[in-house]
Amino acid sequence: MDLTRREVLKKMGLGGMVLVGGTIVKSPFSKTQLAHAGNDQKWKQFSGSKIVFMSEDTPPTAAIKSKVKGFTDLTGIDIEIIEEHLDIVAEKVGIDVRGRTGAYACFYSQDKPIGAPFYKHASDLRTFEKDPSLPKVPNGVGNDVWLNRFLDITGRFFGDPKIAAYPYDNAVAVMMYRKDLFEKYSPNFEAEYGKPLVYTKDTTWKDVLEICKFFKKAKFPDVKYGIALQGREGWGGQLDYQRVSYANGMWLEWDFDDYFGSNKPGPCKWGDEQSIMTMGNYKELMKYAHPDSLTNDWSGANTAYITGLAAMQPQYGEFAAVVEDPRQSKAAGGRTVYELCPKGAPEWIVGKGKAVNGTNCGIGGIAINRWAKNDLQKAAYLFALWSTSHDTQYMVLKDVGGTPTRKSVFEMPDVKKAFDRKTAPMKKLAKPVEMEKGVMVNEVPLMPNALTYGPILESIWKPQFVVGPKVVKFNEYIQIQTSEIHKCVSGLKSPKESCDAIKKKTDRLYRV
Amino acid sequence: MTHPKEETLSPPLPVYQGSGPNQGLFNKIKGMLPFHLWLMLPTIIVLAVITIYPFIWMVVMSFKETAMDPGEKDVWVGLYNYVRLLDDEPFLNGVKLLVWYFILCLSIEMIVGTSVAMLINNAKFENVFIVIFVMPMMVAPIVVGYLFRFLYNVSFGWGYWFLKSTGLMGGETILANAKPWLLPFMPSTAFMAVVAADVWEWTPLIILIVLAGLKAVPQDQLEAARVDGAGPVRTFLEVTLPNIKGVLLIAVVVRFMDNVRLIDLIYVLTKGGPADTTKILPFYLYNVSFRYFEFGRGAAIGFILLLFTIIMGMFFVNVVFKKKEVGNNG
Amino acid sequence: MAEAELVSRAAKRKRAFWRTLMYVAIAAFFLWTTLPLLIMVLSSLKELRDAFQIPDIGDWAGAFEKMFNFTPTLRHYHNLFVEEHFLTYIVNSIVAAGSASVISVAFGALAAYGLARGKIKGEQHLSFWILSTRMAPVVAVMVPLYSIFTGLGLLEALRGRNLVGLILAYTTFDLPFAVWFMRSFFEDIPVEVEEAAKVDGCSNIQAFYKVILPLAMPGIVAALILCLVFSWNDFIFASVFGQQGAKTLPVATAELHSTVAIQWGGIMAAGTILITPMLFLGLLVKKYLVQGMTMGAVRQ
Repeated sequence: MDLTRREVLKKMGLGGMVLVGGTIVKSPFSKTQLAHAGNDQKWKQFSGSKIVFMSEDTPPTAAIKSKVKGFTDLTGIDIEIIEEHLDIVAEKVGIDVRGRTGAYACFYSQDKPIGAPFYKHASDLRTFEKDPSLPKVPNGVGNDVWLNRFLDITGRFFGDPKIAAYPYDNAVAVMMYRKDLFEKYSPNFEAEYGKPLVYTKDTTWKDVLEICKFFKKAKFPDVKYGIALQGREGWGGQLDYQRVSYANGMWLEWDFDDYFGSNKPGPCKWGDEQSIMTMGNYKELMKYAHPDSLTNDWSGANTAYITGLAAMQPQYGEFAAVVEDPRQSKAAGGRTVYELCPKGAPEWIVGKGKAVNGTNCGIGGIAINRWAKNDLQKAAYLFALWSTSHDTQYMVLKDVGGTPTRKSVFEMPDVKKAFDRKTAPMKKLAKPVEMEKGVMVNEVPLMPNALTYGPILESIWKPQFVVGPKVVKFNEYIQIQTSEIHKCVSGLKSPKESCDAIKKKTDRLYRV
Repeated sequence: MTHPKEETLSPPLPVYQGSGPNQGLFNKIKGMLPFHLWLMLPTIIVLAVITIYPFIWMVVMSFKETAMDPGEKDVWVGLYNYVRLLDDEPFLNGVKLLVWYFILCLSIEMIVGTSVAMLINNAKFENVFIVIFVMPMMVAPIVVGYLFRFLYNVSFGWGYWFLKSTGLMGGETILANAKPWLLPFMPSTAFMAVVAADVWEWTPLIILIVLAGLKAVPQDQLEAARVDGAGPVRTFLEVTLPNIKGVLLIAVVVRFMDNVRLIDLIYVLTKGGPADTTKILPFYLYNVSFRYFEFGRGAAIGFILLLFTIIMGMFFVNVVFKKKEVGNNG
Repeated sequence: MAEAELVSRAAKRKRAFWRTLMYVAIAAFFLWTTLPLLIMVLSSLKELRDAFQIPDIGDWAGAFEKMFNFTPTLRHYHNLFVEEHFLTYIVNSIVAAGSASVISVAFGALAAYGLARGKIKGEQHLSFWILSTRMAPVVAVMVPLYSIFTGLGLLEALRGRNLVGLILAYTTFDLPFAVWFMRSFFEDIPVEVEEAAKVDGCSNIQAFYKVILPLAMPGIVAALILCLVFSWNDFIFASVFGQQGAKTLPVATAELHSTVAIQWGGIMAAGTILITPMLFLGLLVKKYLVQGMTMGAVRQ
């Protein structure tokens, strides 16, 4: 079976006749009867119903969509999965909950852009957990079954004990780089800089800048730029910048708890010395990065990387599937190595801040729409349970390539083997692909995403992991931030002016 | 010229009454409104339903501040949303860029469109030209956006390659380039790239409309000018231009209305970046309403945008292309 | 005699100069219009790796080779029709745009005629007001429109309902345009024509559709074609009101830009599909639009 996401997506074949919110076929059993029934009965209580899931069009959802027959077999519920761009998901979910329509019984709740603004419109999952008439999954849904604190990230906001969403997919940043190019040009690099061209856990952002300057000056025929960044206005740019700002001194905009965020953040720290220094350094990085880095988001950067124009990219794990596909990518066939994101450089830190391998993320959750009819919500809960259960996540990972959030999946022996390219199970391609003259590739990893799990599992812990800023009005805040970053990078404002402008606008946004 | 039928004049006769059963009731209802208003009724009803409620909603909303959380009510804030805009950098930037946008797009499209229309009018392969030149207009703006994003791409864009190869471009990137184009007060290179895409797509509309108008220029006037010995420039100014004024008005108004409303191109090409240099007002409006869900602020901006469009429209109709006195049409 | 010769030679050179300039101008515009289209069509037939190939900067000779030397593939089209159900979307687009245009022009013609004939004071202003309903920035009024549509039950994910919703949405901007546009055509037809018809024994309505309509037909077709173009191209209404049931071509094409990658092959193929019917429409446009605009424009 092919790896590319598009080829994986199967025809929906689900009839597609869904009413606003869906239709519910109630179980003939009463609630108390169900409470004493077996798990099977509980799963099937809404058999014949239909619900809608509004999701981002990422590989994990595509993967789940292709396997959704399993859900229908288990529960008898017909589920329509709508996939849209994240912006459009936010838009449509926003209109839906603001209008209290409840058309999407469950929706994809990306932690910061959708979770934070709309968490009050999500039902408290604990009520479903406590409901005896609803089934349970093996291992349950407690804090510890998920990767480190992922449940806090997607589910808990601003000190509210309610759980708004279960962790559904994970996009954690790692560094992908072309080991073959590094090895090839190491002699040239060494001649100029006196050290070999390598990338390790201890490589700092300053080292990265050097590498970029090297590649840009050298103008090699098979690679033009050192790094492809994702500075696009909006969330892409915010995350891109945050990797640099957090690595250097663990700088955060506000001081509240990173995992829970705050709905009254108070005055921000933009404009302080560290922020100005980082802004200046980011501008330098952008100067030597792939020229479209300001307009590229993750997909644009990935294209630059797989077409061989950039030697490195900080990218999210799920892109490994494309990177490892020789039919699309020049970085396939073992040429790419995955490692932690770069560390902060002591020269780039003001004062006593710590240098860490700044890693950030977008953890998608699955939330239940509070405005949908009660029984629809329960049916949606069944889907939330199923799609985040161990079996589903494991099956999806093996067959199609997902991004699991349950610890137990990572502990399966064949998954563990797939972390390392040398032991990873492979599958043969229908037709070998000629990567370049005489170099043929005829197999690809079975679970390409797993190649990123080593670095990911290491980086999702404090101090290197940064989760926030989980704030209300997140979307407007990141527009302000990336807008000013752009102006600084384009030379229209100095780093100090940009930081001050961000501070002024952000504080006004939060009525400080 | 336009009507081939009767030319005999006869005194107006009474309106035909019709006959048949229930004539009384039918005629009574019929008589309630003049015939012509009956004709307009369906249109007016549909438009009223679809536009009046949203319009009132928008105006009322502009005086409120929307509450994000369920259970909270929207707060009445009077003119705060409007006053706040005076100090709002993205808004002012949006207005400035919008003015640049429509001036650049419209003037280029009108000049180029009219010139091309004149060039191909009665030319040898006129039909072929029309079919080919009309094609860009038929491609949805969204798709044109992707096409130009493909062409402008640094890694694989033919447009980029062409501009660099001919030496027309010095910078390294097109869509990420926030530096002013050519002169320091002009909008950025990325902005001009968007304008280019808009011009590519919509000049055909102007060509079509103007071409039609050119066909209507009375032959006798052209003949008279030729006999007079007038050169092409004089003929154009004195004969052609007055005759196509009406057509030009249609072209300008039609194009203007969509130019300041649609953001499909910008959404795909730059999303308002880089550095806010393509964030024209309608795009900012989209952000405020659909990203931040600040409907109150969005309504205020929307209302201002609507006023701007209406005022400019009236300006075009009444000032630039003022109708001549009755009885003197070309 | 010699002087006349000199003058005429100079005049001929001047004419030749302007003529060459004309040809150059047309040629330049021709290239400007067709090259992007050519690249679009060619890219739709190339594998992605080939489509991404451009020559080095300044390598003009290599350009021809890079552009035209490739192994053509129909994979992208196959993808669109088999996996993305583009045929459904094409049908949706045609149905929605077509119906909305026909409805708008039908009602619009009636209203335009009423406006033209009715002795209403300030009809220029009324006609402008009608047009101004089309000027509202859609985004600002999306929320109330959304609730109107939900109230009418048009947003439930049934194809029929979504299509109706879309047609209604398109009518909101086609109808005002149609009325404003056609008004002048009807004004152009002298009152005497109707009166003659009534002398012959027609009622008001009969006079309208037997006599007036055929005369105004070019203008009506012109309005129809322009409405078709506007509706066909729409994205924002289709994206919000089309929902899942009535996805149109522009929306479907935008979805080829997934989170992970932009499917350039598919997008180029979709674009090529978009222009193909327009080749035929273009001929129609030429025949009617030119003729149609002729009639009413003069009277503005």
